[in-house]
Amino acid sequence: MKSIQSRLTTFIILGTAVLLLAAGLIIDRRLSSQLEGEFHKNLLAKAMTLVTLSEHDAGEIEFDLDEELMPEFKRRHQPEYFQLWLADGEVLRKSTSLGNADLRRLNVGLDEPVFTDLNLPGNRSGQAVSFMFIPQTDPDEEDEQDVSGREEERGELVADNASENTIRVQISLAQGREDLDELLLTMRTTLLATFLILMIALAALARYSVSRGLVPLKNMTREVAELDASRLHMRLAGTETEELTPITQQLNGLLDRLEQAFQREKRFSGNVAHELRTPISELRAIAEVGKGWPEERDMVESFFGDLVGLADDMERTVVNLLMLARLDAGTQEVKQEPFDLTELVDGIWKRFGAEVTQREISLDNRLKPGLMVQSDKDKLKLILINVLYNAVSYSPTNSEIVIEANEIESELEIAVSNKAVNLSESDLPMMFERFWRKDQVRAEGNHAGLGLSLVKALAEILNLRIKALLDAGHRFTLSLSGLAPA
Amino acid sequence: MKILIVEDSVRLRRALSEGFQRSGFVFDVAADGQQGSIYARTFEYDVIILDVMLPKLDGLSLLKRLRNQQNIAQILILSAKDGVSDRVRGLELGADDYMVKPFAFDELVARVKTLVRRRHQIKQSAIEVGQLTIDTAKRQAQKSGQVIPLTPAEYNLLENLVLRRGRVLSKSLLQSWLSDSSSEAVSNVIEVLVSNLRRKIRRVGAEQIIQTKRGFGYYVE
Repeated sequence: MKSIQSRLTTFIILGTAVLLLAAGLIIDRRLSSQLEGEFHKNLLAKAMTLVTLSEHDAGEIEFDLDEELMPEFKRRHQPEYFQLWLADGEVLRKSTSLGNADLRRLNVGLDEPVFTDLNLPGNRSGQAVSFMFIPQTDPDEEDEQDVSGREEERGELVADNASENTIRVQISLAQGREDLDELLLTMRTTLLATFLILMIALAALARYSVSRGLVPLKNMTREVAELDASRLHMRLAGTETEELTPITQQLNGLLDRLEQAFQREKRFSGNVAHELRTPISELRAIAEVGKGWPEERDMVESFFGDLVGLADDMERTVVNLLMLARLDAGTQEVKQEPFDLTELVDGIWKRFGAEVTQREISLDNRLKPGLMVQSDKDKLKLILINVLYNAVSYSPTNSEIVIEANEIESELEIAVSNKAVNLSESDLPMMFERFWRKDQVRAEGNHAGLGLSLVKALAEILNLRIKALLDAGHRFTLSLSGLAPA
Repeated sequence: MKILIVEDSVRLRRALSEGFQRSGFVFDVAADGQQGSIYARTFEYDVIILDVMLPKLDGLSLLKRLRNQQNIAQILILSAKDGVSDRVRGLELGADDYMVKPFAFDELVARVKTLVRRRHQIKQSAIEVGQLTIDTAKRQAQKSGQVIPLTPAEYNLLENLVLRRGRVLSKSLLQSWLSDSSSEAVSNVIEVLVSNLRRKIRRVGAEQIIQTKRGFGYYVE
């Protein structure tokens, strides 16, 4: 697995190494050529000094060098060397340091210094400058010839002499380059050492800053590692790191949704348990009272009706729960078929028998007889059972439930409306929540708050739109639209 | 001794009524919080059994209202909510007991009897009056082990007088405790019951404990 830290560190270290190396090479190049140039300049200057010591005097070339004054030409330790030749190659003079040896005579032009590398006696490496020059004429003679016009005509005279005299002398001056080499070595060692120290420091710095920079990421990793199903209420602490903020936000958003889903599940199972508790307590009370006085036949027999009602309630709860679970699992298929909706509604209403009679609730079925629709009959039936059951449950005594159909753009809309005295506008969005039930307005009897959430889920897979409305007269209307006529 | 049952489930209400009636309790039944509130304000109950999820006025609000009205009845909450916080909330609002649905009918009866004793600050279920022992758990009166055969109404009258020893109770008050509030009052029922009770006590050879305060009613010394 690739690590951001090692990758970043490697990139930074390698990148800087290349840059530093390039910088080092440039510095080395520049400095060594500068130093070489300086060395050449000094060599040439010294050669020029030697040149001034040679004189052309009446056909004779004199070279007036007192080696005592320039001990570098005769000392034993790292001496310097020079050699002067006449144009024909005859050695005019050479430094004592040369002894029997000779400097190599090069083929060079007049006043054009040539620098060469060479091996000096004693296996020293050195550099030499060689050039040809024309020795000066003795200035005393010139003074004698023309004292008054000296200032003005001197250049011309020299030029004349140069053209007149063909006596040329070649000089080679050689110096050991130990000092230069030492300087270059020092420079390069310094550069290299600096490079190494910088690289080590930089590697440490890179590691440190990258790992410092990744601290928020590590913190986040730790925080994420602490999350589990039992701690879904936890949220990642927002970092001040710009790059991580979107991740944190996304993760926290995900946690929000997960927590909500978990809460919903928890609430759901809690609600299922609660919904089952009520019929079970009824069942138990009936059974225990009946068992306590079995001889009271009238009482015991009157309990049977309650038991049937209880069984109906529990069956509806279980059917609804199972259907919801199947819908949640996505294992429900939709079977489209044409059927008579009016007949279906009448059939459902018949099942409400006892309760609606007792509470004087009636149904005004305004659907045209023989109204054919194309849908999944079983699912639409379950929807209508629950919608009507809901209407019955929340209707006050002696009231009317109305079911009607409207055709809107070749689609059918079915609306079921009933009086719901204590319902308020703010209850509407929550009605389709599982187990939502407005306790204060609940009519007598048990009503699992599953009905409308199932209606919603079923409507979704049948592609029906569902809408809840409450008018000023406290009439509640639940409409289903998008039904196809057949 | 009289009980009020506030419960919205028709079936549970019916089962409880049948069972309580046969256990010899006198009780009223309310189907929602509002009705329960009216009953509790109108009559004096020893114990009120209260459901929490009720139409119109929920059980906890009713409980709060009753305690604000200085109602001294012992209140037992009977709820499907079994969370610790639900129980704590109910008890903190002034309930004396909390039972979770589903419940055992016998346990409910036993707890109601305990609450009745507590209401009258009696520690034991058997109360000694003169030579008689009134056993409120078994709902019978005895004289040295011999059970006096009493009808439920006779026992109830005796228990009501014994539980409020020393207090003169009017016939109409006694009447209200002896029948549920919807039944019609028969004018001389208390006189008949007292006379029956005295006769049965005399028959076991015990001293008379029920005294008449002429013009006011009856009392037990």
